[in-house]
Amino acid sequence: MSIKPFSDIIFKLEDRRKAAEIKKTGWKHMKILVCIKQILISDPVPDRSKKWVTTEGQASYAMNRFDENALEEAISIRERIGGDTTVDVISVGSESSSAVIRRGMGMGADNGIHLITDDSGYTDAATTAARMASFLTLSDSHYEMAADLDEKEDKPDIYGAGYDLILTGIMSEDLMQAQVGPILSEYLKIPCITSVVETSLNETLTEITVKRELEGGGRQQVRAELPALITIQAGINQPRYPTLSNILKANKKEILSFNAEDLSISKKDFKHTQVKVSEIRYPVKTRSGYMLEGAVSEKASQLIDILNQRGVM
Amino acid sequence: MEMINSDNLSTEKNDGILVIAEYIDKRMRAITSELVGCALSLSDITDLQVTLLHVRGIDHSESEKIRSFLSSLIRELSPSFVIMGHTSQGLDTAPGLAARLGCGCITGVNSILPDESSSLQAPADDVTSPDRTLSTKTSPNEYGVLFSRSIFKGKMNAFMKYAPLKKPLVLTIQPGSFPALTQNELNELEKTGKFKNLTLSYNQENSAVDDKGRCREEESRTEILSRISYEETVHSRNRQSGLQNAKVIVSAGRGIGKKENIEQIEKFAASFSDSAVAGSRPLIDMGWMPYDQQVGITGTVVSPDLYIAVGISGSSQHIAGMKNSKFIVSINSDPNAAIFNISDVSIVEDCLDFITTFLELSEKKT
Repeated sequence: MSIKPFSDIIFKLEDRRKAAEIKKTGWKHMKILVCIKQILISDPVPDRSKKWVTTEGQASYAMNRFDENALEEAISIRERIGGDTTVDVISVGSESSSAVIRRGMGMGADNGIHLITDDSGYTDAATTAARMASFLTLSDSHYEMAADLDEKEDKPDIYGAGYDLILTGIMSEDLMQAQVGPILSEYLKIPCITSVVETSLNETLTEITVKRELEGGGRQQVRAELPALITIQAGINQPRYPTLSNILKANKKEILSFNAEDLSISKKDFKHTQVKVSEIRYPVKTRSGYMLEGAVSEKASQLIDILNQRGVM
Repeated sequence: MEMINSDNLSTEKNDGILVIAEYIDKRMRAITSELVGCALSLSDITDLQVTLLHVRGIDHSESEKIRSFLSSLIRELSPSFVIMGHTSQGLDTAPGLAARLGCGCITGVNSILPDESSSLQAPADDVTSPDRTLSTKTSPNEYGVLFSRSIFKGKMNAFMKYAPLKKPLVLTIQPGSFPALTQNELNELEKTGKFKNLTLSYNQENSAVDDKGRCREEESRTEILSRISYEETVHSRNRQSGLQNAKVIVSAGRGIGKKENIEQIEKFAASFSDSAVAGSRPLIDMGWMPYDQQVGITGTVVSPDLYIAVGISGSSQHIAGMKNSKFIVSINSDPNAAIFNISDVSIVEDCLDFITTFLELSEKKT
């Protein structure tokens, strides 16, 4: 697949000028980005090297649940604000990840971006975040923009790479690392707030106030100037299903796809040191795990006997 | 310019293991003693000294301030490892801290072991740091350590290693993975010299930001401090959860399907004397049950006589909350659910079918 010229990327110089003017006149406009991931939902099977799981065979995939929550929140925010607000989704992953991008657009995202990798093994969070950050800050028009516009009093636009708000799931269900969001925020030089269960924007869309979830249901309120990145915890909302009309609209739209390697997302752009997998193993069984056999009624009967013997019934 | 108040700080570069004590308000959280336990295991393998850092004069939940403070401090102290808890606070702080330092981070570590393999050479695509304050003289992987963490809903563990280039490696430790040490044990260990306490005060001088909010360092990242403000915090009430007194706990997971099925779970629980109904994290997230019914590391840790897990996959966070139960029975339609690794009796069956049948049969038997 061909690489689009960078000027074709979403941040055209003119769009950015327009956006800045729109901001000044008070017309509602926000650019929101949601980072989504495709995860393995079938049983993990170690590959030959035992360093990662195989993607062959009966593997099935879905969008990470926490990212669904994040996308739902972004779309809700767009609905609340109205105006010219857009929600883009971005995913870093193999070819098959385009499925979750399509699903995101079916849920209502306006644009989809796919940074295609051919990693078959484990990719650490810093590499994923570096790829996204490299792509998002690639457009030179970005930096020209900041210099061109007379924004001496405003903060430079390079923060947040042109997006006002970036959302990610708090973690992915498969790896549960909870790292990509915070690392990306460091690379883009914007505040990061994790484990968000409630969001609210101020009138002028310059600040976001969130509630974070703490252990046992505690809550912390945090406020940040935009642009900012927030990671979303599951309790926040119930993600909507894709609608037929959105799916049809999405199918007509092209996903902006880039081969991660072609973009030369070199690691020197965003310094990081890699974590690698030495091996994956099944956990050691710590209890006997006596497996009951037979039909449902037989198993139920056996369990009743076992528990009667233990005197708990 | 000396940025750190070095009154109670060694002027030598401390190539050790820095444990960050976790504080809520002014109280040190219990998990801190587990972090020290973990650090001591790491110390056994690497022969590095452990320092437990107490940062006073700041609410630790203001994580950007902590991050800013720690990133300066770490450049001064140059530890090989930085250890925090895998908690909401730890996760709000650690990954961003590692990224700010250009270093690696491994979260949710559940065990640490020596790396038996012989390949310790640096991979070709590593990044070298021009940063003069970080020494690469002794790098973590020269110590040959592997860090295990749970993946795929607890079905597998990944043993992670770190490219040997840049200190420190930042770790967050899964609660319940390492033994918690008592204050007495900590005091004894301090006497042996393997571990020491270090208390530093957070104030503007020690942070990387001066009183006008301008950063002292060249990088402008610390400007973020002026763009984020931490407002009210309401901690969960430290109430005694009813779960802790129950002899039998029947716990439901996502596998039960719908919220309406909780009624069946309650009937099931009623078959047992002195029982309570609980749920795993996803059920609380979906609002099917209140927080005080959650079993798990962020909910209640229980050890009843009998724990019956219904439709629970067995992620490490849940298991950590119930693994000390005396007898564990698990019901799940997935034969490979991780919960079966820690069960005394395993039943592979559709949860609701099984419970309905169980209830019918037990009525007949009485």
